[in-house]
Amino acid sequence: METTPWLLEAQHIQVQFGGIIALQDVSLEVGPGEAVGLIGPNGAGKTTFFNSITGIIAPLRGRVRFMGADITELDVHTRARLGIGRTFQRMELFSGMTVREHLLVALRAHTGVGSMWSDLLTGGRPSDVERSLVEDTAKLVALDDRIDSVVDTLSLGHGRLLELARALMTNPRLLLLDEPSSGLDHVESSELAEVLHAVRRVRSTAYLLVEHDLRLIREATERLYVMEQGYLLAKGPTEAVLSHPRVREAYTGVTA
Amino acid sequence: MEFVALLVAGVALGCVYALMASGVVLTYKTSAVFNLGLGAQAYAAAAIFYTLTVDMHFPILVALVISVFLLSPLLGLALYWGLFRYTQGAPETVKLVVSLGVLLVLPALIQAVWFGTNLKGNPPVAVPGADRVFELAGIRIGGDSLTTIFAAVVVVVALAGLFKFTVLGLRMRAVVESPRMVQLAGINADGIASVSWMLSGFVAGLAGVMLAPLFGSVDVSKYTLLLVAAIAAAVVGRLSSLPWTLVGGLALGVTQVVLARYLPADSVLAEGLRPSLPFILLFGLLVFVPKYRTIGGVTDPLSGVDPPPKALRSPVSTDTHSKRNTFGQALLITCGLVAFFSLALSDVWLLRMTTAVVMAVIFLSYTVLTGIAGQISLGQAAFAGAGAFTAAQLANHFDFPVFWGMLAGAAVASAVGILLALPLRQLRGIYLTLATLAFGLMVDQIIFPLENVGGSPAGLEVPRPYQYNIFDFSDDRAFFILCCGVLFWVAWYVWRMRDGATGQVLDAIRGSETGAASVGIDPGRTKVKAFAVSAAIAGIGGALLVSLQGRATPAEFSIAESLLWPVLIIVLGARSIPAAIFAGAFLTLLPELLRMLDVPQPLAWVTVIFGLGAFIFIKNQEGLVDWLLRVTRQTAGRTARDPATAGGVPAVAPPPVIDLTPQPDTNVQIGAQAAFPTASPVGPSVGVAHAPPTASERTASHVAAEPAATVRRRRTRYRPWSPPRRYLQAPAKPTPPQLQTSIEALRRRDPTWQPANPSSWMRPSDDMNRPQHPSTNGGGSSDGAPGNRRGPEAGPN
Ligand SMILES: Nc1ncnc2c1ncn2[C@@H]1O[C@H](COP(=O)(O)OP(=O)(O)O)[C@@H](O)[C@H]1O
Ligand SMILES: [Mg+2]
Repeated sequence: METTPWLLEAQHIQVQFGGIIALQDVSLEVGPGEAVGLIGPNGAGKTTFFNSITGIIAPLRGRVRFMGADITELDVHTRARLGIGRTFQRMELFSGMTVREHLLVALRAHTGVGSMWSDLLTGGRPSDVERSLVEDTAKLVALDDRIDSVVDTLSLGHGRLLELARALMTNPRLLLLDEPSSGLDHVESSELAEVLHAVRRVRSTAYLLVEHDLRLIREATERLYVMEQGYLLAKGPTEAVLSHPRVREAYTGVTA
Repeated sequence: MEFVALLVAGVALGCVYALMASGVVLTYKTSAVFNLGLGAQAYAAAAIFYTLTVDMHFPILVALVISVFLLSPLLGLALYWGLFRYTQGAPETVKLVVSLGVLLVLPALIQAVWFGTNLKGNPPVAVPGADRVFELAGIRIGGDSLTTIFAAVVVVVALAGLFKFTVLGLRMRAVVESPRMVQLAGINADGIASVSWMLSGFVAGLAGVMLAPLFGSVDVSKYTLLLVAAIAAAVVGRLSSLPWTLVGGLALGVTQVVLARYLPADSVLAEGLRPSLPFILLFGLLVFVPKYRTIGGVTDPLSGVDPPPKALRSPVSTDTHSKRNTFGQALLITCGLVAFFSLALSDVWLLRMTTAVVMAVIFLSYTVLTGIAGQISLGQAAFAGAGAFTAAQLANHFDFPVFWGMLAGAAVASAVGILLALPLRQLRGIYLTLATLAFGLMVDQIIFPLENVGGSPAGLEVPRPYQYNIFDFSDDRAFFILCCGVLFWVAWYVWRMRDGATGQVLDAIRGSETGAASVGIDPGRTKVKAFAVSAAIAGIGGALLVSLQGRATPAEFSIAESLLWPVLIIVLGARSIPAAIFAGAFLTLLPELLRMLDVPQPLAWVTVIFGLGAFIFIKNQEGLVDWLLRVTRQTAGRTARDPATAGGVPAVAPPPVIDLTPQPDTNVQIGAQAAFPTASPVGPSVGVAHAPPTASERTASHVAAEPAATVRRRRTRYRPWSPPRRYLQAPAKPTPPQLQTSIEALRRRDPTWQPANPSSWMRPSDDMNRPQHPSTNGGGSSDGAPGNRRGPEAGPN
């Protein structure tokens, strides 16, 4: 029996859209409880990579392993139940529902509470435990004052925080965060960094963070992968990677 | 020899399908409307042609010109400007419901106003001299087949050529990519949509007139079948390729005709299979060939910047404490009403009332599937029928007690629902709806006519429930009470489900399937559950209905019902339980009312009324019943729960603006260096006065700021629009008129206002952001293309 120290192992992922090769032999690992960054210019394939890990698109080649098991063929929701939570670059909120309902639905998807029959008996009202879990998580991402707002009225930044909170409700082992700070102002984005720290400390959740804000990347990750045009350009400790001349050139367009 | 003649007939039929299909593709591509109303447009043309030739004795050519070349395009144009223009950017559901409304209203209106019936026999052939029979190398070929083929091929090839090679076609394709982008580029998207709606109206009219003699009658139901055949052909062309659409249509037509010849004529299989081939093809393509369901979606590149379309979800009342009382109240009111009605009503009205109650049960099945799960089903009558015929057959052949037969009917309907939902569960939106339409027609055409299912056209006898001498519902009043009990139980169940955990999960899936899956919800499984519950409810309703009438006939559960019911309930409020009850009442009592008022053609008028309701849906997607309840509650003074006014912040005067604008004299200085060039010709850079961040936004604000008059002026100036080469050679423009106008407007508001010097805004590095006049925009300096944005860290500046 082979064992692996990694929580997530993506091996030689290849994705093609028609003639475009969106991902070319991308391999990436995340350890348990580790904070890893993934950067690259727009169109580098970061979102596509997330989609192939979560099962939204099927890679042409390559395997995805999670906790040692091969999950390449599993459905999106099965992977989510295994403990892969994610946020989306283009938000995927449940329009028409309130913040509270978002968190409750996610919590129940995780705990399996709430069938059609229990609805008949209890009317599906949240229990005290559920209620306090929901409210605590909302507080964690500083959405407690908007908890009964319908999401369509939230600002972009609040929407991103809600996506993060929704992912946290399922108590994931790994969080995939796709540009969570876009739409946040400076204060909010350092708060986001704090939330990520807290989540890691308290629940030892690992995360893979796609970001354009290099300050946040520095603050919140230990290791960094850099992508460019569908392939992996560099990996290593965050500071070392960021200061490498080739990375600087690729990512910032500066020849230094 | 004979085979060749057969082939020609098949090709002729296929050509008509292809014509109609190209109409579907046209409007789908240019205005993102999947126009189910096209079937009605074809019928309208055929009816007009019939009236002109047979009743008014016009020469055939004149009638053809009037009906096909004049009125059909006009009808298309009217539909666009009257209805579908207002559905732009609306959710798919809205467009679908409106086009369903057209499909219902037009034929009913024609029938009610002058046609008198929905079926007339022996329509004339559209082209003079076409009834001649040609002899070609010993093969006898009907002249009408030849003209049909000729006309269809000419039209389809012309359309394809138009799309491919002309400026108009280029613009049409551009509109498909992004209506707003095109509009921002100074092209009149409305104009292009008008042209394509006229063209699609024209081809539908042509198809309608040519098809009538092939059918041997002008018959509404035939045009629904034609529509589905056309949709199948259009799906073969992936809703975009006209040549493939032609291929799909031809293949369908030929297979149908050949099957008709070579299958044993008397078997039900032959009788059902031939007309239902299009549904089978459509269903098979959508369900089993993945590539046909992923392609063809219209995606607007600008849609990313839009807020998501509003979900069809009534505002949530967050107060949970009042629910328990509501249940008690509802129980009390229901008991009171039931007791009152069962005592006070005359026998006839009691039966009508019972029908209304039973119909309300059936409508509750839509509340589950459409209101809560967000899936529009156009095959719901099939589920109701499954319940009805199960109960009927069990009672007839096995002496099964009807009471248990009804439960068995619900179970069978539920099983049918699951069987349908399993392959359908990966489909989304319009594709799922089309598949249910195909399913509904298939059941209507093949399954229900079977002896073992629907019995004979005269129907099967169904007794009233009677059990152990205690449960005796053979009396009308007792049966009424039973139906009310069932309605109450089902309504309670649906209500608990809607507001409970299940409802929330379904809401979540409707909000975002991807998002729901990302937290571990299985969207497919949940959809299957919703279908199962909905079908079971419809099954119970169907069984009650036939037990009420004492007879189960296939006609009662036809596709016409499947089309009318959802429009009614969606307009009244798909999520609302009172709406389901109102829908039942309207459907049953309105025809009676019209009959009492001596309105001729009451049923047609009822359809017209309900169909017109669909058009209200453009403006009011909350559902009329919920809207009414909310408005009355508000006027009753209980406004606090309205989300718009709830938690209203008391109006406090804001603090004065901290105004740090430089004093006028500094401004004058800047202005003095170069007075704003209002008359002299300047390059495109003048537009800088608006300088917001991105090119498209900038253009958007330009257009938005323009008064209508200048917009029109500009359009005429650029009318001879052609691809990039000339685009780039456009001479330097004089001051854009819209800028002058906005300067004047600003001056009018504030006479002291002076435009500042544009060059002071222009730092050298801004060059790529230089606003360009729409007409000089295309293909310019490549570094200015919006796609090349970099992250905030980009660049050393
Ligand atoms: N569904 C799709 N169909 C076709 N091409 C796509 C699709 N999704 C992404 N791409 C292409 O794949 C490339 C990578 O995109 P993406 O993963 O979104 O990049 P990033 O997230 O790094 O900005 C881009 O060139 C994009 O155009
Ligand atoms: Mg991305």
